[in-house]
Amino acid sequence: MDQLIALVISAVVIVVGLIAGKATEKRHLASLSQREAELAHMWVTTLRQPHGVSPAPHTPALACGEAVIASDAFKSWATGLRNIFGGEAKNFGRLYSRARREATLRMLEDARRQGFDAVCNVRHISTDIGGNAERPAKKGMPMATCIAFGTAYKRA
Amino acid sequence: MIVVNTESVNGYDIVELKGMVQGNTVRAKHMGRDIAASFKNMVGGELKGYTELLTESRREALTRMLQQAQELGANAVVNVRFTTSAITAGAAEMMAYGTAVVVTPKLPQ
Repeated sequence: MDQLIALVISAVVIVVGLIAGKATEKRHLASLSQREAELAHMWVTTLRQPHGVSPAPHTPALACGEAVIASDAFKSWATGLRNIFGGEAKNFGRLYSRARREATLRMLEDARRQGFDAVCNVRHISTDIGGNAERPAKKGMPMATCIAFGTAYKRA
Repeated sequence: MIVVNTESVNGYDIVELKGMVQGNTVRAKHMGRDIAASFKNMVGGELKGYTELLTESRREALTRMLQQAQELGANAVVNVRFTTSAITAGAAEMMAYGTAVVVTPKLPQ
């Protein structure tokens, strides 16, 4: 009986995760597309030196942005299944791409706030806040973290 | 203080090298944030507490790096990198490092 209750509770959590997670993801993707369109005029490159710099003298500066996006119960469960059979975990791929896009946008917003319109030498790094790498057996909290940074300058 | 992650500062000449500088920090959020995060892990979405944690860590690491650069008498840090490592659940180490230099504006041609 106790096992049955536990099973029902997990099933409810997964279904709630599926519905709420899908809605959150949809809202986030819409916000990302809208903000990306607003910042489309800015140049983003991974070139090591700024390209096409404005002739007006100005001092470049560091621009940074970070984002931490949580997985939902359904994604975590589905990826657990995927772990049994192997193959691409598309759910977590999308989760990471949302974190990367969000961090890049925040970096661009930081650059714009400082009066720049281009960012070069963009780098992405990640970290493990949830401690999932430390205690994989305990299956902590799956989350995607991204820190984006680059050198902001004014373009010609 | 000029901070960039390119190898030189556009529009400036590097006239003196002062050596490598670094700053690191380990920060954790209080338990309430960690509990809120575990709920958020059910429905998905941004973990704002942890995003804040990263922002604060990055600022702190940069500030400490800049302090070192200032002590060396530099006015810019070039080729800045960040690196992170996991210490334990809910905490993150962030380190910023770069090369402290003295720069002067390029003379107009």
